Amino acid sequence: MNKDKVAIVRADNYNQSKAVIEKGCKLLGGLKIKPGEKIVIKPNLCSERSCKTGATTNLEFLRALIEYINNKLNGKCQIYIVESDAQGIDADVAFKRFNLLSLEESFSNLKLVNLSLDADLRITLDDGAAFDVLEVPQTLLHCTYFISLSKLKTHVDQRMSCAMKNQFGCITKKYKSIFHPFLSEAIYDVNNLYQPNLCIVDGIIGMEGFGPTDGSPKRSNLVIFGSNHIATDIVAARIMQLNPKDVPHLRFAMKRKKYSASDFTVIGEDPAKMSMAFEFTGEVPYYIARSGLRIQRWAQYLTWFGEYMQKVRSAIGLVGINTVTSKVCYSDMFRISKAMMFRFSR
Amino acid sequence: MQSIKIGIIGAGFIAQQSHIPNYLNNPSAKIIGIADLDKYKLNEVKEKFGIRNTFTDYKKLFKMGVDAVSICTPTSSHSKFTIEAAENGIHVLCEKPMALTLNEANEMISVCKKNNIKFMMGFNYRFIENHKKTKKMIEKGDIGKPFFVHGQFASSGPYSDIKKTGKSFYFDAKKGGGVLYDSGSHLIDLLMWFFGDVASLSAKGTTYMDGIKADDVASVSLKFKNNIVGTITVMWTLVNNWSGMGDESFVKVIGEEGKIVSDFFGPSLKYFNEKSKICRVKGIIQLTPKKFDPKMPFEALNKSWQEEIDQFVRCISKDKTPPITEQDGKRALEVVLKAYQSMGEH
Repeated sequence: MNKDKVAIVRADNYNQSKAVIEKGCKLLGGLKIKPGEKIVIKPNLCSERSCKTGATTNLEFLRALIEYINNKLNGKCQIYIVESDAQGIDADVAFKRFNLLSLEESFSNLKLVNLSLDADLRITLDDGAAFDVLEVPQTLLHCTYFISLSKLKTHVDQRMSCAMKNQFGCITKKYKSIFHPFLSEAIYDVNNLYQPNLCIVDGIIGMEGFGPTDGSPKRSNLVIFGSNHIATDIVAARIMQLNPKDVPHLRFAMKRKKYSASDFTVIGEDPAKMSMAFEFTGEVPYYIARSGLRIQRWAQYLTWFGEYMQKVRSAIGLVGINTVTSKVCYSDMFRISKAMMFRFSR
Repeated sequence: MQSIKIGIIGAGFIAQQSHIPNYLNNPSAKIIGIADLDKYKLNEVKEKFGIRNTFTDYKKLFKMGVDAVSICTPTSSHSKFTIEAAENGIHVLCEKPMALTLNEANEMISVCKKNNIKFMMGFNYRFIENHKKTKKMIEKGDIGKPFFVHGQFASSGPYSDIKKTGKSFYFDAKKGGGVLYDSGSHLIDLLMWFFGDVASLSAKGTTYMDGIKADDVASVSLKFKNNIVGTITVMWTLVNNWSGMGDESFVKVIGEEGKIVSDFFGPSLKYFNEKSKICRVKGIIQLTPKKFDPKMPFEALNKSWQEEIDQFVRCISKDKTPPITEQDGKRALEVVLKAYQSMGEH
């Protein structure tokens, strides 16, 4: 079986974006796209902070990626740049703030989509770790090729925020902090659902310190291209001189998927030579934050248990106790109750 | 604004399950009386819903000055009550199927038109959210060009009472009994709502239960005028176990790019499109409209009844054409009667 690939490409500045993208995709064996594709690009626009801080996607790089795709397919595809509303900034505001509207003007086959306004359906996840149902935007439902375009950043609660964390923005709910106690599971679920075809982690200017939004710019002069989101993040962690197993959501995904370094090959630049120390918030603040999240997690379990008791009462009330005893089998009630497990229905 | 004064003719299952509670939920409607030949049922309704004016003679109900009636009686009496109501200037919500014969249907249409009253058919499955979604997805081309549909409806129906009473008008073909009249008319209307008129058909059916004089299992092969081929299978079952038999009622549409399987009672539909990335990863996926809980199986069905009543009341108060008209009722009846002809019955 073909192993996943991760390519590291040196990049000194954003003027080289076009060449970097071409080289990175070539190292991965080329972009496997064909005319008629509905291509989704998920950039990182979670904050109002400028791309110069390393918090958000660089417009020049994004434009170069779109041009690369259009050149490859002679424009015979539909490209969607997607983002959801976040606590820090609404997607439509972000599109305007970061001048992405200019991309819609430049490319007739490109559309900006606010995922929070695009979902009228929910998908049932049989194998969800955090979610049993998740809102699925129409654009993502009909997407045929998914590109995750993230930044190489630290994270106050997760140590790093790169390829996998980027897909957290595919959750349509604006106030996503309610999922923070279950962030590893939530990140796992969205990646397991959308499984990016191509992950690009822009480390030309990333972020260190109080990431993913309030840190300081960190120049790593590289871009990571990966055909698998877990592999990409493992390499990103190593670049940041982190043990991948110290990153909670990465550790969770590696364990759940039984994924390890032996499942992918690294090509291009040597990660050992490209790695550099990233400043983190410090172990004590990190563990204080993690403890707080753990307490919230247990509080959520108790809340769910209480809601579960209410639902059992409602299920009986909905059909009526007479109907329950005369028409509905107890196996029906058991099946419904069993389905109300301790998971999010979002 | 004055409430629409509602009368109910027939105090049986569908009146108690759907019409009465949903009129009571509608602030623009007021139930002022109910008529039925069965005094026990009238007492039941009085106790359960607090409706004070109960009559064994429906003419007394009309004399109370009702604006509209729900006709919840056996099929053989739909024509009689509709014509009398129309001649008294009373709007009609008529349960399915419309009538026993096309002559009756034509007479009902003529009298309603002459007296300028609003007539709505009780095909509530058009208001089930996943069926609405299915129609939209078909129209949008989410499965490419559809070419085949299969509708199946298996329910205990009147067989849930057979051990208690052994009696029901459903068991007598002359009174409009039979599963094709009962369940088949729902399915036929739904598929014609999706795909238009039927060009030709052939049908088979039988009675598997001893002592019953009406069909209890039937299958109809159809060809629609737009060249789509389909089948409808309906049956009454003795197995009264929703968790075991719930998935035997559905509508499946297959198109050039994929398929939709719409759950008949519940809020969910299963979807597959070979081009969708999510489907390529996960196979067939389960989608639920945002406002419903996929774990609550009867929620969507109950809400479809509410919407049926709300739409009827709204049409009267705002003087609009009902969403499901007498012509829809006649079209469905025509197909049912042709199917019976093909079966060699009625």
